Amino acid sequence: MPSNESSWPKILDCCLSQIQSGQTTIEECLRRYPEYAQDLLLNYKLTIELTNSFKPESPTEIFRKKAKLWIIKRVRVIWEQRMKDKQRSAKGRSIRYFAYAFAALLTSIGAIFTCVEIARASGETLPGDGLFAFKRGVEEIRLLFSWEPFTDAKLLAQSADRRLDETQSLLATGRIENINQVLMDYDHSIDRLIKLVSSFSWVSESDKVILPSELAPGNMQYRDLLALRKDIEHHLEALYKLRSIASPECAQHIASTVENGQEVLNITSIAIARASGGNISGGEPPRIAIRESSVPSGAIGLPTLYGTLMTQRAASAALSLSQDLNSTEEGCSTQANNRATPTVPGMTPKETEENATAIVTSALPAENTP
Amino acid sequence: MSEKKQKDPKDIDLIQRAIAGDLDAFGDLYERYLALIYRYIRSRIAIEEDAEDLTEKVFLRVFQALDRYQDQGWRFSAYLYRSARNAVIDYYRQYKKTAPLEDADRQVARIRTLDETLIHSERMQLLEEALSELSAVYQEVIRLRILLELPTETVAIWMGRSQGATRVLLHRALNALRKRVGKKDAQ
Repeated sequence: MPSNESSWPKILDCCLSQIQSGQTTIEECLRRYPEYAQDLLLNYKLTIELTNSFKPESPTEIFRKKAKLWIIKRVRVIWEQRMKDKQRSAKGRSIRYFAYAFAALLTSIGAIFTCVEIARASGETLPGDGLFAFKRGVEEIRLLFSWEPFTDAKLLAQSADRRLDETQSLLATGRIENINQVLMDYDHSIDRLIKLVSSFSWVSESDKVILPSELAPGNMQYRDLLALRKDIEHHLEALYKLRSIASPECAQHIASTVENGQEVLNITSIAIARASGGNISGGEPPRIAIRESSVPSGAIGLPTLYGTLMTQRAASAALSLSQDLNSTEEGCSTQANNRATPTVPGMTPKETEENATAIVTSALPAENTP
Repeated sequence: MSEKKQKDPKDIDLIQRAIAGDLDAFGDLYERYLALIYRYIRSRIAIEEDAEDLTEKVFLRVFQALDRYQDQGWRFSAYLYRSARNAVIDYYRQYKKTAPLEDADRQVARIRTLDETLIHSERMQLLEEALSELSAVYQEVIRLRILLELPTETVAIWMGRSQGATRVLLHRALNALRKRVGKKDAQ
């Protein structure tokens, strides 16, 4: 056995290759590698035996010709079939795509229709109802897909309105247990609205107030702003009334709501005051301290924004709420069937109602005409 | 392994033409590799007609999968070899349906016609038995390197090994065969 194992396979392979190609003979190899001669010879004899016994025959000429014709014929058939399949699949694909697109369209229409119907059905739901979450979801989605800050403000104001409406409906149907949650949601909407308004460029940190050029006494926007202030004051008075007759727990929520409303009223009042040359025209000065803000020229239309903020509808809802709560025994935590019991200490229900009406009436500002 | 990546540009040209629908190009490829593939199949299948049928099937199978060949990175001859090897395994599976893959791969051309059997010398039978007792990979390296007289480089590519590993494999396969033949001689 040769000593060098790693070189021996190479020598064997080299000799075999050269012998196979006729470049050398076994004798020459044996002379060249005398130390491997014995093994080389044995392996060579074995390979010769193997070759003589099992060397495969080459294909016959007949087979070569016949097979080539056969192969080309079959290949042509395969090729033509493939082309047909491609054409067919391209046609089938376009039909399939059309079918998919049509199915997708139908599904989308169905989904949209269903969503619209559910949204419509959920419009009248109250907290605690099955579809109420859907109603809130729709509100949030509408907010999500609104790109304009003004639209956001409008949606948030509408959301706040709805919460007040819901409070009223809950009271009417005796489902008082959800009122606190609804009032908290109302507060939340107002909070978001305030934050949104604060982020607008026309409320700057400077104390300078520069009114938008279009805001001047007598024009439509000015009148809108006055009407808006009236609405907000209306709303706030209703909430004051509500707070005075509500249970402590309920009053706490209302207090924060009032605070938010005051914030909005402040900004509106400043705008009116600046537009009318420092005097608040057409009515008494607000009872709430006015904070300075600046309103850069050419900024957004204030009335448009605030007009959506607190509407007459919200104020009406709050008034109705106050009347409903007035007739309950313990404000937020009382069942609706106990409405006859007075809630203000020392007053009968009738006195309480008269008192409330008086407060609300006195809170309404006179008609403001610049 | 870099050798696997190398492709004969002429082969590639013919393949691309064949893919594009030039069937004569595939005919050229067929002529170029017919003898090689036929001889390999013939080395494993004794019945001539079966070997011929199988050769045609291999080329047809390769044509059907020609689109996929481009991504393989193997020489076309190696691609053909693998198809032929799989075809032989399938052939033995059909011949002996219960035979597992290993057995099918180990099959040496045992199916011989009566005449062939009669003329087989005792020595050839002994060699055949010894060869059939070797592992599949030893049989394959002997078949490719000795019987088909393929260069080591080609055998290495076909078997997916380095040339050095192929030489060592051949050396071990011949030694193992010699030992078995020696034992059988002694018996």
